[in-house]
Amino acid sequence: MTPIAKRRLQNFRANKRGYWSLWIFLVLFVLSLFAELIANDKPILVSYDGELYAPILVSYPETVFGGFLETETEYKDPEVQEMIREKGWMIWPLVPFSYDTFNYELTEPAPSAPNGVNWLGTDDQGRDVAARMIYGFRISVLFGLALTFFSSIVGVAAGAVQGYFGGLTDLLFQRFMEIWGGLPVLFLLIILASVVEPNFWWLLGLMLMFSWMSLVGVVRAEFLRARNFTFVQAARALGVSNTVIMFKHILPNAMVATLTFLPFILNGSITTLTALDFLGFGLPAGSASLGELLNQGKSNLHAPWLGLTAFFVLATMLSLLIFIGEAVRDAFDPRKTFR
Amino acid sequence: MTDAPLMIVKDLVKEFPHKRAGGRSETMRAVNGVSFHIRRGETLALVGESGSGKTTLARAAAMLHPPTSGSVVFEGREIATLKRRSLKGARKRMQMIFQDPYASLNPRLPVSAIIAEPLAIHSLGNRAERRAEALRLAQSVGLKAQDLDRYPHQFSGGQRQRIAIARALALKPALIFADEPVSALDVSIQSQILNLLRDLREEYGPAFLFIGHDLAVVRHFADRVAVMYMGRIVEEAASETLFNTPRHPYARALIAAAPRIGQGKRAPGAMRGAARDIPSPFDPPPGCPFHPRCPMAEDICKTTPPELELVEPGHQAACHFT
Repeated sequence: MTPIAKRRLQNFRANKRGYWSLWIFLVLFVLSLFAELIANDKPILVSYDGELYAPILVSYPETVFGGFLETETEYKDPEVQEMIREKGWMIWPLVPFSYDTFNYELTEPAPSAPNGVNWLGTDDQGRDVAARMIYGFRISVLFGLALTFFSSIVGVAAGAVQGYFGGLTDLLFQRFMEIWGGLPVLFLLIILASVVEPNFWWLLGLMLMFSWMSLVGVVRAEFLRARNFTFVQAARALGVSNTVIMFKHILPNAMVATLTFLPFILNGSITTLTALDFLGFGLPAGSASLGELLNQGKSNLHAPWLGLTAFFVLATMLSLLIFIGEAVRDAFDPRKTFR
Repeated sequence: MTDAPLMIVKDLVKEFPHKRAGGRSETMRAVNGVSFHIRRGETLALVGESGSGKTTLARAAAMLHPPTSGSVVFEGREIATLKRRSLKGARKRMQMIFQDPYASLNPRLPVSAIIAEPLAIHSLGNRAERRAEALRLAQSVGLKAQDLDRYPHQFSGGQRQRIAIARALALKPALIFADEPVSALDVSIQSQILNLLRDLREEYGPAFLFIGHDLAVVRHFADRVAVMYMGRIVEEAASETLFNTPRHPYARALIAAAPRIGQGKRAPGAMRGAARDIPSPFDPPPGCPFHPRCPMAEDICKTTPPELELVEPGHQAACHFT
């Protein structure tokens, strides 16, 4: 590791808030990656008749456990549970509901208030809010990461080309971006929603078509500045090709400005997905999403656990990411001293 | 050594567009119809005050900024009209050393990568061979083996310039453009670097286009000297001839103005007229560009620009009174 990278790492660590935010966020994110083991309507492990089964990984028909249906076992069914208990045992996840499990044993009309079974209550269709929160967190972060990743690739490439070549290339590209950026994304999504059923990848693709522009400005500026640096001229005098100059000589020097932007783009992406879900133009109906939870909270004001859960999850997640982003930005700032 | 010059530059013009407030655009002629040649193994120095177009001339001749017009023949091939891609062959034979060693090395690359880069882009040797060659080059400019894995910021200015020189030598070029290679350095380091350049010149035998404003340095390093003023060459001669018997009043003023050891003051009144500022290159004076500052100026100087003429074999000057 170069000394400068070491110093940056040190600076990042010195920022306690950002450092702890990173750890908390990582723990939450890694946990949510294993959401199937935390919140599911199937047991993690079943012992039946001396044999072990892992229903989360393999789908077993009911006949395996002494039933008579050829379809997959309904482990939540009291009769099935009784059959299994007679000849063995089951280990259930912490939250015995998946994001799309309907709780048929509600004692009050949905949305039902938090109790011992549904810790955060249920939504208006009787689905467990805690389970939906875990899955919703995961899909939000994954969507945000994917969108950030792809839009930075496109954005960096576009900014690099504009900044490096400058002149007419730059002028035309910038004008194109002004027009392109003026397109109403929301209307495009509504049109899309009427043609296809938007899923994760449709949304990602469509958002990507517009989100790449957020990085272009800063990368372009860095390249405009760097193209006249003497070492770039030196490389040019050596006969180094444009592509190599751009990616080997300038990009590493422009990376700092780019990196400091990423956490904020990630935040923006998550918020965008939530907003779309809230409006009903996002992920397909039934998928776990924080935006949909917020929408339910809005239409069920008498069930505050819906809105509050969504609010706290979103607020925590976005705050953590902003804290991390600030720490990264400060760690890369050459003028900032910490001691 | 063949008689055909290594590089012949003819009527080279380099203009820069400049947009004024209000949308009026004008052009600045940084280099205004310059011709010169460099023979194999010869060192030609360009001198002149700041803004006289020395660096622009070198960069245009090196095709770093394509010249506006004129011709540059390098090793018998016209390169002024070549496209980037076809220039690569010529690039292999000419290299550049820049003024500021703090800016001319990529801070993100280790020294080994910097020195070996010319080899890498011309696909010479494999990785291990290039590394070995980088080591040899580094040692020939006085760096140590362990320096190869360090980064530019870990070196002093003089050492950085050594790295830049090693990079320029990597392809054993026929011509090296050295744009004030020592003026950013400490005086004590300057002589080390100059001696290094001399030793390497003897060992590898490249020709140099050496830009300098320190006349003492130029006098000791160059075979021939060309004096530039406002984008033109006003006098050109063998180094000793020029310093002993300068003909053009600007060259005289320039030489007289240079401080010398053992001489308390500059020659009295040396820069008399020339002490005035250089005229705006956007609005060059008519006639001889030096006439507003020239102590010898007469009416003809205000109307007719003098041509560069031979005053004696190997000595040219552009003045009506030589």
